[in-house]
Amino acid sequence: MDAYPNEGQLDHEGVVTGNVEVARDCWRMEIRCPELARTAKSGQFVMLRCRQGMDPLLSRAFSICDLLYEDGEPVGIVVLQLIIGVGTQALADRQLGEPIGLLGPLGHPYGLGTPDEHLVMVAGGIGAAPFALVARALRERSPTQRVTYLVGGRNADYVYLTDEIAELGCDVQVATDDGSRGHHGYVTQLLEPLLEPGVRVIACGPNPMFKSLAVVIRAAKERGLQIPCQVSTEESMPCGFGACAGCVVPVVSNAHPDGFRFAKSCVEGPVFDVEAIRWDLMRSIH
Amino acid sequence: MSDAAPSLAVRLGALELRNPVLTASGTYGLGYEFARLADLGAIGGVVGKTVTMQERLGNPPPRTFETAGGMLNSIGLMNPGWDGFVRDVLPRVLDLPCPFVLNVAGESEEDFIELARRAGQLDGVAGLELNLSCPNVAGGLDFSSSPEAAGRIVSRALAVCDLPVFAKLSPNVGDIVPIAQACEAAGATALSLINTFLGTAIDWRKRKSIFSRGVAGVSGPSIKPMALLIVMRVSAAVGIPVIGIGGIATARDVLEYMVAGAAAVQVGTACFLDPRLPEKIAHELRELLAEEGVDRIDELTGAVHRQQEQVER
Ligand SMILES: Cc1cc2nc3c(=O)[nH]c(=O)nc-3n(C[C@H](O)[C@H](O)[C@H](O)COP(=O)(O)OP(=O)(O)OC[C@H]3O[C@@H](n4cnc5c(N)ncnc54)[C@H](O)[C@@H]3O)c2cc1C
Ligand SMILES: Cc1cc2nc3c(=O)[nH]c(=O)nc-3n(C[C@H](O)[C@H](O)[C@H](O)COP(=O)(O)O)c2cc1C
Ligand code: FES
Repeated sequence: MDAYPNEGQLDHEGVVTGNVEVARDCWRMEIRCPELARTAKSGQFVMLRCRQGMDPLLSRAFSICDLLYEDGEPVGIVVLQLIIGVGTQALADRQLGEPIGLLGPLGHPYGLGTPDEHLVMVAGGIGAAPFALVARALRERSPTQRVTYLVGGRNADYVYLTDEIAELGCDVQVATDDGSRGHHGYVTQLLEPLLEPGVRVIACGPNPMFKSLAVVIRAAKERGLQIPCQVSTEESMPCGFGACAGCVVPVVSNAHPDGFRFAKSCVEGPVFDVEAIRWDLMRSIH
Repeated sequence: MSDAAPSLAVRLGALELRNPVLTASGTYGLGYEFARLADLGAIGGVVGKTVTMQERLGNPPPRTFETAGGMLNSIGLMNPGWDGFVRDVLPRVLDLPCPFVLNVAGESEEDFIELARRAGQLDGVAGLELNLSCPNVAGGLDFSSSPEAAGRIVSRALAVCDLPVFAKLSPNVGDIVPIAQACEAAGATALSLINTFLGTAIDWRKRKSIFSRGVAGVSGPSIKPMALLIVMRVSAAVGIPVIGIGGIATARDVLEYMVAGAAAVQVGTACFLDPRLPEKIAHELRELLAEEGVDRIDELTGAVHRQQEQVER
């Protein structure tokens, strides 16, 4: 049976305390919600009501990008959202002071290993969102751990959080598909030269990025180098807490005749071991 | 406030419920998962995800698509199968602070009967809902498309199972009334109306359906007017209780269904917005009835028909 991660009251009413466009089509929303912020961990997500009422009907999933603090206590969350459709557009139109319904914190957080490891965060596009909080959590745990942030995007407009994460004392390297910023090519190409014993990888981004990441990790394994690597999938989620079975991803299962089963990514994930997913069966939604 | 708070209790045959709000099959996990997130002691009951004889992995994604005021789904009855259910799910649903209704579907008539026989041997299950109407598996709709087939399955299930039996019917039929009447004649305890409407979604750029099977089921607030009419028509034509299902998201929706003829309701898609929505609806029902001066919620059931009779007289 799946390890069901969520506990306690998930439904909250927050207040929008910030909502600004910080990059092209990308909005940073601040939501005051102390009960949720207190227990939020890096890699977890929330489900946001796009508007008051029933249109759009379903909530939308967003990674917890960062926390808001007051007197050193977490009192709210930050989400970074790329506008792609009706729901995200409605969220961008939200006004300051408006109440906003939300569920969370949801899902399994990243496993962050130990401070003696070199932790490499690999982000593609808006998949950058969870890493501000990850970097903060790592710095709270150890001011000296080696942490690298590899971030890729279509072009320079779609590369996020480089300054914020650099400020936390992490090495930052950028790749863009068109070469407009940093390495001309894929972010996974930046990872290959870093791989050595003691490296741990956590990643978030589109499925094609995960697929090439899986290839890189497997190739290292074949050379005798086992790199722990977790990915956070973004299959679309109608409910976010395990009620609907709409968010499934194919995972390896030797107990099943075809060698796989479908796992609800909202509760068994969204963070999975890269080797747990059957990438050959994973569709590309991006 | 008077201490004689309005009574929300309702009855489905021999089964008494604290209030008329149940969760609908397939929209509240396998049934046990949310006991730590919601006060299930405040709702009428949980109907589990459909259980089939063999484990089913379900359909490949994409499985859902949002529509105006609703959604399409093609989950494909993903469930652990009978043995997995008994091993992993049953012990947990029996600990719930509310009745658990087991929903089953067979791939054949014989499967249905065998599942009913096994269900009848379980202790602690409050009722059996026969899913005669799943649109997302091959042949799933055949069982509620004719009065003969539906009636036969219900009567054979009742012969091997002492539980209250609910027949869950499809709206995707020419005339649902004779099918409902056949289930009543066969001895069904109640009718669960309705399962999802057939629909699809098209990706015009790819020039194909979003769904691998081409069809999916429509649910959510947008189907409420159609489902409400079905409940009104069927409840006028049968004497057994009807459980209203389709687009319920508020306490007002529940009361509308009850006035239209429902004895109880199931909340489906709206559960996806908040695991505590069913319990919030139950609380709000009490407030609405108190405001309106209604002492017992079950007095509302079928009120529209009594009005209608007066108009006709
Ligand atoms: C766990 C999780 C965390 C996420 N975190 C973030 C985040 O931090 N920031 C952010 O901007 N987005 C994030 N997303 C994606 C976000 O949920 C979607 O972008 C959003 O639901 C789109 O809603 P919409 O109404 O604007 O678009 P829609 O109108 O629903 O969709 C527009 C188009 O995007 C596609 N689409 C819909 N949902 C997704 C999805 N989940 N992934 C990819 N394509 C999709 C649709 O098929 C359609 O083609 C996350 C998703 C998940 C599951
Ligand atoms: C994602 C999803 C899964 C469902 N799975 C089942 C199921 O396994 N068995 C069943 O009898 N009905 C299933 N249904 C149908 C619902 O129980 C209900 O009849 C229907 O959705 C209409 O109610 P609603 O509009 O409140 O959702 C499912 C519905 C949805 C949306
Ligand atoms: S989003 Fe509903 S089960 Fe995962």
